[in-house]
Amino acid sequence: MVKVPKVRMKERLQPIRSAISALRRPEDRTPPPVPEGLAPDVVPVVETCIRQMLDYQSVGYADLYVDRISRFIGRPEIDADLHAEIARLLAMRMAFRDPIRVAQRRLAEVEGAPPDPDIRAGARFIWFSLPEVIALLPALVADILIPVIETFGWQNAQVPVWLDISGPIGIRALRLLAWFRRYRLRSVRYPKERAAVERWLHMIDRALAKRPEAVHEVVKSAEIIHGYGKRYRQTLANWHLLIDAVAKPVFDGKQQIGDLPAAMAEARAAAVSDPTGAALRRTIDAIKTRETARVAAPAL
Amino acid sequence: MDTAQTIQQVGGVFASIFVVATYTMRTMIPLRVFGILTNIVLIIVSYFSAHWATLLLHALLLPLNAYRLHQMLQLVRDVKQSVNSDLSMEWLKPFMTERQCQTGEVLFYKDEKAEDMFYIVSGRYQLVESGIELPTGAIVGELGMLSPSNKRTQTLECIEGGLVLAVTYRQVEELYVQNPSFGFYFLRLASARLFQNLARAEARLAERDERHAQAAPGTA
Repeated sequence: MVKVPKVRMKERLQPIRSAISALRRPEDRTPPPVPEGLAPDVVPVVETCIRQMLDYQSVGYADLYVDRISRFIGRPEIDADLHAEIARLLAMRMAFRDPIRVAQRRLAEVEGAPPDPDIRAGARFIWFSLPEVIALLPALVADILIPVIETFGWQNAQVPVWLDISGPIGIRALRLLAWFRRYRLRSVRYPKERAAVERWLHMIDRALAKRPEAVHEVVKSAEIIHGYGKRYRQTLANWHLLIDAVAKPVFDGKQQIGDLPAAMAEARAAAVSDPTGAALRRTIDAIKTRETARVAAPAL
Repeated sequence: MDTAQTIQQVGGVFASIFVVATYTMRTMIPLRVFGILTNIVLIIVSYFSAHWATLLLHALLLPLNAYRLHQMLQLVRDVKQSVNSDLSMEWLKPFMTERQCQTGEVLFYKDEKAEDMFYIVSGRYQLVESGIELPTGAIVGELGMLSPSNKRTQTLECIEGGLVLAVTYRQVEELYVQNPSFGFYFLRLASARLFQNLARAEARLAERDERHAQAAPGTA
């Protein structure tokens, strides 16, 4: 009779243990390599930005950053300074300002990082609108909740994010909020933010093809977007307005602006601190009027 | 033992065999077939044993399984037919979801990672970089799924509001994995469309060369 070797219980449980330990395995935090072909001056900037993307989200998100910045490698119109500026602003745009970001920045302060310049010194709360908080949830849940808050008329309700890092309760609350980072890329908000970043990159690409002299201004236009909550929404809306009314019509051949970089710089200066968009609209109207007069004027 | 008891016992054995068989199936069509057989046997058994809840459950599952099986068989038939005729991708429409597009909305940007394909139902859409306007009925982005870089090669902008149907690559991949026949014909169709595009590009190139040759002064 053949003796069947006894399999011990410990060995039988091994696959289950492996599966559990695989699930509990700490998140991979190995940064992706810096893309080849970057100018030596750009490499340290990109390295810093890759680390920022890791802190902000994940390795996959850092990979996306590398993929985006690599689009400009080997393009003769992009010098090292401009590439470094794109790298810096791309990291800033990809780290979009949601309530989770507030928690991440405040927790970083606990570990010795400098304070976030967009968080007012001494502020106890930052207010976000209720739809903005719900937009952090996956579409499956948010699509149910958004009609509910609309039914109750709570679209303008404000939700505070507690900024207190002086005690353990405040820190735990911020840690809980920061934990939601893992759902960020599945949130309702993410596709919108992704489209806005892609739009900026697309406009740089179009400027290179149509009006290369304006490319620095298109790159710098990303600086308009800053702040949290209402300020972030307004500055993002200002940026879209600037692109829709000044840059895009020129690239599409529907509008003539002689000195596009100067016009964009003027509109950018108006947009960056405009809390309602009204000043930016007035500036754009003035630019259009001036350009219409210039085109209509007889050549001397 | 009366007839009802015999049916219950024999039916129970067959139902068990079919349930095990259903779980062992790797692809969708045989899984649905065994699912249907299980439903039929359990409807009969539960009728004779007066288990009405079980009967109701399987009476609901039977048409569902039958519909899904029909959908799969129809899909394979349509793809096969498309390979042999006009290379159209219309067969994908039942698996797509509607998306309303506003004027000025961008469906995707150049160099962005491609994740879905679109079927244009109404409205006007333009590939920004090349300036080409796409006609209604056009499929956009079907080759991106098979390309190694998986990136968009142009930007697609809606220039007059309308409706598009969208399906993610993931959904198509699911169909591919669930149904090997579909996968085989889909590959043939995608390759045929690629060759068709290549032939068009070659024809355009030849036409351009011919124009250049006519425009150039004689060298003899």
